[in-house]
Amino acid sequence: MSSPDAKPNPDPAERERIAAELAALGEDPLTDDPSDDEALAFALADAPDIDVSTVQTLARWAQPEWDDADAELSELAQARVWRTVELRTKQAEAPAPTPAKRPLLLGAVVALFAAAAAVVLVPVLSPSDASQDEPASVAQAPADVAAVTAEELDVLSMQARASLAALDRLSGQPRGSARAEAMADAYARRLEAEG
Amino acid sequence: MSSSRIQRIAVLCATLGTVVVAACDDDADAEGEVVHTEVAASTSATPDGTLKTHEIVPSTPSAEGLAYLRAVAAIQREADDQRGAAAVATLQRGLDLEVPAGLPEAEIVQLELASRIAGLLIESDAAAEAKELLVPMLEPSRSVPLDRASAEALIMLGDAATRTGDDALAAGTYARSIRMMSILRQELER
Repeated sequence: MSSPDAKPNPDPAERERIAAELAALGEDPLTDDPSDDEALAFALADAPDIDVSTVQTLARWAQPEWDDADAELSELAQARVWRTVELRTKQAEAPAPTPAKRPLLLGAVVALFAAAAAVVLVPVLSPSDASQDEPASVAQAPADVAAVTAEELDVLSMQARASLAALDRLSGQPRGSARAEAMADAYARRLEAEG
Repeated sequence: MSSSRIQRIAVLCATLGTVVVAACDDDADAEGEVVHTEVAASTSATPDGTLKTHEIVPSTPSAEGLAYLRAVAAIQREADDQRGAAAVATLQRGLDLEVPAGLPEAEIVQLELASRIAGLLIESDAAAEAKELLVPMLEPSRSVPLDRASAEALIMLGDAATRTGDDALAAGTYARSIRMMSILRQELER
């Protein structure tokens, strides 16, 4: 979901649509400044599949290897991913006042910072590390994490499923009954080899 | 979902990610050995993201072990052609099969059977039964095999917990599955 390289040249209707989307994200309006080209190019990207991009992005963010410095997404694109998540879950949410009216982009930045904190800590505890017998770390969860909302569970569920799909693509192993048969066949080969 | 909620999700992921502590013994070479690892921490007031894992090291093959694995594979195939309660009953037969001694691989096939059963139960609005099936197999204090089957079973338990309103269990379980898959991916990418 990276920004295309083509020079953007939106027609007035497109520019109006983009301006409305930026406003919804809490972004500054478009100007003629060349630095706005990235936002325009992203918005005019050739029909990107935002659902696929969102899941891919969330899956990548769920990986401990993910590093903010390697992120392909601009701040606008990151905000757009979170915005999509928000829209997908909005139907289940009753209208309620927002406790703090901070811009969505700020929320995304804070969220990324929190995710980055996990990224920094998790590799320290990875399986390749030397010390295996003792607890590597103990962390205390903040008390307010105890109350999890339905929307938050939706996102966790989506991340878990995206991770499973990514793992399956990476491993290429069979699933279900095919895996059971493959395990039995491999076991039979080992038995034959050792018999 | 407001920006504050988005922040909360990220904080939740980050927090659960940090309470989970995984470690695996790469030096395992004894046949059939269940190589153990892992400790984690949580508080009773929060979702429990504790993940204990062990690696399934291939055992010395035996005729009994092969017969068991063949029987489970046949049951899985049989269930492929069934739906609903009939499929659940078939898969349950597989879960009830006596496991031969010295076959650590059975843990994986049992988790796969349990995941399929749980998925079918959830589909038929019997999430409580699915939860009842999976909780003893996956409780945080118990070590689970470092395998895709565990990750999928954890997702199923998360779904069952969500359906039954046990949000803390759901959040902790989803986080454990994500962490499990991160470890598996790291292993694959080595």
